[in-house]
Amino acid sequence: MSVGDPHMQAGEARSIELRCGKLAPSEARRWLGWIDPYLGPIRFYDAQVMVSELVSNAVMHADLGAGDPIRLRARVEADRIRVSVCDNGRGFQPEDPPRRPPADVVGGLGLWLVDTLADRLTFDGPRGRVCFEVAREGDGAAQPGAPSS
Amino acid sequence: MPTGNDSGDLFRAHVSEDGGEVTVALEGELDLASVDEAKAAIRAGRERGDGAVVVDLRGLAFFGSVGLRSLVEVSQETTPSGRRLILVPNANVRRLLDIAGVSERFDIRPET
Repeated sequence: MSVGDPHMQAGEARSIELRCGKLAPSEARRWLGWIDPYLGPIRFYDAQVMVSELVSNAVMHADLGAGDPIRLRARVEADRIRVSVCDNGRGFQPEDPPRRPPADVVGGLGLWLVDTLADRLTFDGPRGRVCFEVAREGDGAAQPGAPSS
Repeated sequence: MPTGNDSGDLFRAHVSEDGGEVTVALEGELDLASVDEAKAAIRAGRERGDGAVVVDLRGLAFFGSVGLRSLVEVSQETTPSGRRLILVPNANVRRLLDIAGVSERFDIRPET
């Protein structure tokens, strides 16, 4: 059975520009709320984790100044949501795929977590752009950490 | 960088003590804005009592890698003292701990 809001149409897209700072991750999570009815509660929580990780990485690692823009865009596809996070920082060189760092190493866990939770993850590292896709619940997508009944 | 409460109303920490066991209850959103406050609360709890330090995470509305790291960090600091650090996660926190593969690093008390 598929959950989701029948009023949301594939192709609907929204974007926002956040200001770099410690509150940007929570602002990103709140902004993402419009896709909540489409995804279902577990995958919406995952999407909040993913957008929060990517915005946190931009705030901590992109060498942005306070108040510099971090751009978010989310688009409804037929069976999934596609979200991109982009900044004008120094870019990065992602490993492909991101490896899980040892738990006592600082940094790197966020991107690995996004890769683990996402149905698809794409990078344009030099441009500081990351996109993730998350399928709506009930459309046959694997859900990381879900009990294997 | 301000060291005060950056998270406004989005996060609260409360430390209480009962018979030597100290409980640090974290509520709201544990992220970049609140992680310093969360770690300070757990460290403050560790200074009190002489029994286990229970970190109650049931009231967290958000928990991600920043929270994961902070728990690993305070756990590593606590180990040499011989005090037990016990986590009480909600379902979302437990799922993230499991996905990240760090559950076995902690004493976990089931949600009641």
